Amino acid sequence: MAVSDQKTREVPAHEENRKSGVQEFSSERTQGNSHGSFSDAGISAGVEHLRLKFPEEPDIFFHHLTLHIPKGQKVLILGPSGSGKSTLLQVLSGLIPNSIEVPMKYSRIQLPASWGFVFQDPDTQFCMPFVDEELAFVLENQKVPRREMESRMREALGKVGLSFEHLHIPIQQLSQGMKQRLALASVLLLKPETVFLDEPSALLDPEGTGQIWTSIKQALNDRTVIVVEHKIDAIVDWIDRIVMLDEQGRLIADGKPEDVFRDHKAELVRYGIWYPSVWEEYLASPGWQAICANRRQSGLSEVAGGDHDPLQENRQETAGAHSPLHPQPERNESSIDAAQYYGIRPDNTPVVELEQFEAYRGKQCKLRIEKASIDERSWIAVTGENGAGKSTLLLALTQLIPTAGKYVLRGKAIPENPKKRRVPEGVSLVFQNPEMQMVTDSLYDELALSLSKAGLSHDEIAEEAERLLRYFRLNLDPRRHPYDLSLGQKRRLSVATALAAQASVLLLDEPTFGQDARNTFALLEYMEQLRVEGKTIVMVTHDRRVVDHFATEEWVIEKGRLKEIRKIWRS
Amino acid sequence: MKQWKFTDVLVTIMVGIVFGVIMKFWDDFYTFIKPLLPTLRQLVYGMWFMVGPFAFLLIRKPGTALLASLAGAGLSAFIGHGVEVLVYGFVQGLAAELLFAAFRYKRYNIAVAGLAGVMSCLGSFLLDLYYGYADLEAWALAVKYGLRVISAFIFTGIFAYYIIKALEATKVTKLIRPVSKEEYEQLD
Repeated sequence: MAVSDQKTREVPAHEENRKSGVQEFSSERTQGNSHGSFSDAGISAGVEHLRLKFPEEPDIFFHHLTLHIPKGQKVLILGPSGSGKSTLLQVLSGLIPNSIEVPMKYSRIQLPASWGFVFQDPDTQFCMPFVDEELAFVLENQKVPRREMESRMREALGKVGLSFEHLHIPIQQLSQGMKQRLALASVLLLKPETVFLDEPSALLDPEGTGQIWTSIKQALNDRTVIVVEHKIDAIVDWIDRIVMLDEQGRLIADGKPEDVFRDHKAELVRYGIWYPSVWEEYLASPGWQAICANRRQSGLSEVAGGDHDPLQENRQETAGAHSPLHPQPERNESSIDAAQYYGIRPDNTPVVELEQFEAYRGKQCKLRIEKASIDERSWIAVTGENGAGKSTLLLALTQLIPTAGKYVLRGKAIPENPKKRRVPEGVSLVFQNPEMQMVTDSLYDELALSLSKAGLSHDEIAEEAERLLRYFRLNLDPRRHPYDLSLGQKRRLSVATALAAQASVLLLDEPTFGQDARNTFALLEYMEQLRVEGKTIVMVTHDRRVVDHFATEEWVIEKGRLKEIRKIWRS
Repeated sequence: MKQWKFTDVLVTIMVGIVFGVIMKFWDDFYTFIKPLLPTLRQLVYGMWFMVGPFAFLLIRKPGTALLASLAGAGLSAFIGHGVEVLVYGFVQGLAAELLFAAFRYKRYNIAVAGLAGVMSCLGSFLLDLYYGYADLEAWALAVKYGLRVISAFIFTGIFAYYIIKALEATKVTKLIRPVSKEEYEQLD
């Protein structure tokens, strides 16, 4: 892949006049660096001939990347997971090597004169427990006199759209979206010329995402902004320039957004970027059409008023070329057989029946369901606002929290007040953070543990573990440590362990959260495959489009009550 | 000498603090078993030597052992054990640090870690003499400190080493250890 010398690049004319004084880097820098920094007034940050590798990893990133960011520009860096986008931000800001040592070489580098950095995780960016203390920390470091602090704090908060009557509130009480805006506010207090944003909305729900981007656009309009993001709907109109990296961090595109979208559509698809029309294209793809066809064949039909994608007829020519997924999962031909085989269900007893069902956190009843049932092979999407009780429902079904009321699973009643609460057989919960479920030191052991609990013999375990690893595209060295996987892989592993436990009811808490487009669709298609094979799926999600297309039923939870059951596909 | 980065300071102090908390509970435990096993309880004394070597095995930079030991002692002192604990932390940490230095900070195996613990134990012995805790007959001293040396080796050599090994398997340690020259050369 060629470095982008020939592509259009907005390089200011005075780059030619760069002074010949290449400054020697001070000897304190990590050894082995080539020396050089340039001070070019029009450039906010830049690097030339960058190479980098992680300790004990063989891959080299960036391959002599050269990139200059002029002042005032808004740059979006796109690329697949693992391409080093975040690492590039850390290099351009100087976090590498000043705070973290990573082997790196370049011929020249320029760091911004003043900069701020907003990270992905709203929960790990603060060093103080209270809003005012957090902001005061920044101001203290700038020697701002005490009496001036409050007005500066309120001003910064105002710029990001936050306002509180009293500033001494615990940060914990804010919503995730508000926390990210607070992080932005504290960065603004630094009066940075350049702001780095590393996937600021990755861990936010749609509401939080909207909030943070509004704040960013509002507050950073006159600064240089360097952003890494996957969900680009909200910012594509604000960005001046897109820089696209490939899996190894090489520059493959650099230019105006429209140009990059037009010329590099294939990469956008391959890299799983959430570009504006990605869902429409997916719904027109053969993968989705096959799913719909299978569902209709097995007797399900969409409820009138449920989505019929009007773009279907018009998109045939793009359907084949730009499926947002890599080639069909291996089990494609068997999915049709499975549908026919399982097509007619012999009896109609629901898998789960709930009546006067209550779930408790401590002594408080957090969720109450009057009457509801789940049929086999349903895909229930559980939706509702934050804190409404969605995760509580999943925990209750798994019996990880105390419950009361009628809960019948496959005809067997789950005891209300057992001496020892057990996870009902056949039910498995997949947490939002896959790491929370990993208890062993290798991929194989994760699966073997669940399989042995399910009572399989030693040979059966080996065979089944291998089958699961292949099915979930986890055919890496089975001794690999579970933490040493990418997010998508960890997610698949957590679902695999749920299956290894021979679960027939799969409960998932926001499984597509923070994932790129490709992994999202892949996971949803796996879920559908499992559903066709007879599993029942209950999934908490914020993503409307997942609900409207993949789910067969939606349960809306509001303030601890099941407010509405909406059928999307009816049999 | 590798330069210390912000993450080094942070990780070292965190290790110190975590151990500081553990040492607080360990102290209660140590006191509790005194009537039951007045001498044999030396076998659990090794926990107090563990901070420094643990931090060094984790980060592998000079100064870590001493700083972690001080941080841990600082926390203990803060919780209420007073300045004396700080002195112990300093001397024990320094002893471990010097031992690691003697091997030029390049050895990270059980033997070296265990030896560092033994050095810390020696330090604690000298302090005990100074503070009057070692006012015993020669044979009693030999038993008490002999057991303590064994404990030191077990905690700082064996336990610390294997815990770090388990951490290494999760690849968490890759980013906090100093980077070798070869890594940089591979970039040419």
